[in-house]
Amino acid sequence: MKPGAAQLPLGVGMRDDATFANFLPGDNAALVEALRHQLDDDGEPFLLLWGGEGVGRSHLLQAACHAAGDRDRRALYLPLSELWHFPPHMLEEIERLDLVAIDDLDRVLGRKRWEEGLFHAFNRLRDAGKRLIISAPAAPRQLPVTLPDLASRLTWGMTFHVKRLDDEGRLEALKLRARVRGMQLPDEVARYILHRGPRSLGELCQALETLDRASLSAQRKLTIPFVKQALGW
Amino acid sequence: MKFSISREALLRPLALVAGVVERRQTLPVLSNVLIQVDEAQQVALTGTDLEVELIGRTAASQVEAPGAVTVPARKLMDICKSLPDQAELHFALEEGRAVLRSGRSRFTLSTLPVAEFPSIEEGQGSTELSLPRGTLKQLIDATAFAMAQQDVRYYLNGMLLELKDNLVRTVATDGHRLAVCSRPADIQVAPAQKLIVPRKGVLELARLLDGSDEPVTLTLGASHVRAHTGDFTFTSKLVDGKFPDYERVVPRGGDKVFLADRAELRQVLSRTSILSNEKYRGVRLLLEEGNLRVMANNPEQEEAEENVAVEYSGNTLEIGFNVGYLIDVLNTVDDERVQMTLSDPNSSALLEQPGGGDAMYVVMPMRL
Repeated sequence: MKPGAAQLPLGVGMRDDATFANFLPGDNAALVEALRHQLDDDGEPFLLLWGGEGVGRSHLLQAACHAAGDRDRRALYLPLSELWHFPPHMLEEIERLDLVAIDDLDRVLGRKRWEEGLFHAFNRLRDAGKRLIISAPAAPRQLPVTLPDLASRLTWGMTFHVKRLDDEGRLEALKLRARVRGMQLPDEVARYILHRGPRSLGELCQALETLDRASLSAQRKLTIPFVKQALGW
Repeated sequence: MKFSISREALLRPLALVAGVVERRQTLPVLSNVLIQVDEAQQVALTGTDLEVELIGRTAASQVEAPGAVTVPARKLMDICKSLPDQAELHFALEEGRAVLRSGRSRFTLSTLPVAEFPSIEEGQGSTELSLPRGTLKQLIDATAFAMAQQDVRYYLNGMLLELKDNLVRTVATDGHRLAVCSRPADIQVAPAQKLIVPRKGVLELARLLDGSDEPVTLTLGASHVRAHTGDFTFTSKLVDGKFPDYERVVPRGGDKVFLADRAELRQVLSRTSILSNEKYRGVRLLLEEGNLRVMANNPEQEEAEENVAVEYSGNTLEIGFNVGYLIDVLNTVDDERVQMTLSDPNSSALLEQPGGGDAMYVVMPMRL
């Protein structure tokens, strides 16, 4: 047997999809509240979320779509960072859905067909009384929108600045995500991961996924030496 | 408190109840067994570790004064075990100590206040149902070996008990292998219930059950499960959490299916395992037309190779496994022959009775 011998793990780890249950609101409680109630009759038709890299915008948009699914409503998550190089056909008849969540709006700004497509989609959704969430890295007026009509539409809704968690909040968030996976992450190990690991919570959660798999394979507890070894730090 | 009881009447319930008592305790009273005697000559013995509680009932031969006391469980059991057969035991509480007399022997045991002895909260039982003891025992025995021991994921350190209309299912997995067993049962449960019973609770419950058709009554609560079998009442806390979806893990569409004699394959694997790496216990299987070659070697460069005839026609496949996981399954499969379905060296194997039975076993390979 070679030294690289390893037991392969079964896929029995818990999935950690982005939901409201595993989002730590921190200073964003009002925003989470607005998102949770958006599908109610008196919910906001249009929410715009802006904030820096890794603050949890994508998580919130996906959580809103999952929550809509739980209520038997039809929702669609459109990550423009992955879709920008396609023509905007996916926006056609989008008003047949109950909720549309458009992530990373900045990725298509300056592209004429996309901006026009979004403008029309916005109008159709509004006329049909359907809900829309858009995320962007900057406040609506700071975004480089070419089409003036689209720029004005973006200011029509309720705008939220997604605030970054402080260090204690990040620690708590990391432990929460570990708990959702059923893993016990001791404080000192969580602190080590935060100190040594990537800045963005999204990337930290990917590190947790790697740890989940590695600890399942090795049947080891999450200690600092094990984390170092599993993440190659 | 003062009563007499025959050694035989005390020994079996005491042994089972003492099994629940942990050797190391944070709370001194948890190493004790609670003995309660009433005027109707009923003796109740209780042991607990706060997660699992077991009450065993038996009859005294004579009760002079009813009462209750807690005494060290293991010491009491060791004394009872070593007394001669048919001995009559006389218990008395004297000046705060428990005195046990039998023939010309006398033992004085320390006691702790009965009020300190914790009992698991009588939770709201929402659902009650009965199963033949043999059915539940079989379901547990078929899967318990695959439970995790001390995994960082608390939900793996237990067994999933799924109850729905006309069906009971147990599932256990340690992340390397998974065991599922389903049995039809004459029960109505709506909505279907899924409980995770912690590892210790599962093992203790299995010890209580005999293979008979006599009923075991289960009471399912939000945080507890309770089982009644005649003279015993067993209560276990449940693991709070979700159990992995076993359907997601059971492989579908493996195209390399072979049949082997179960006992023969097990012997071949046990012999080969002697020269496998002691830590990883890896063996290499080479599946060819009509033959399975099993190979192992260790860091000392020692090698074992065996061939066993199998019913197989198809492409050759080489795949590695922890031999212990295969042997565990072969010890459990309830048939003279075993069917193993494989697809490629990185995908899980499915083991079951030829043509599929009550139980399914999934084992992930090793990269060798």
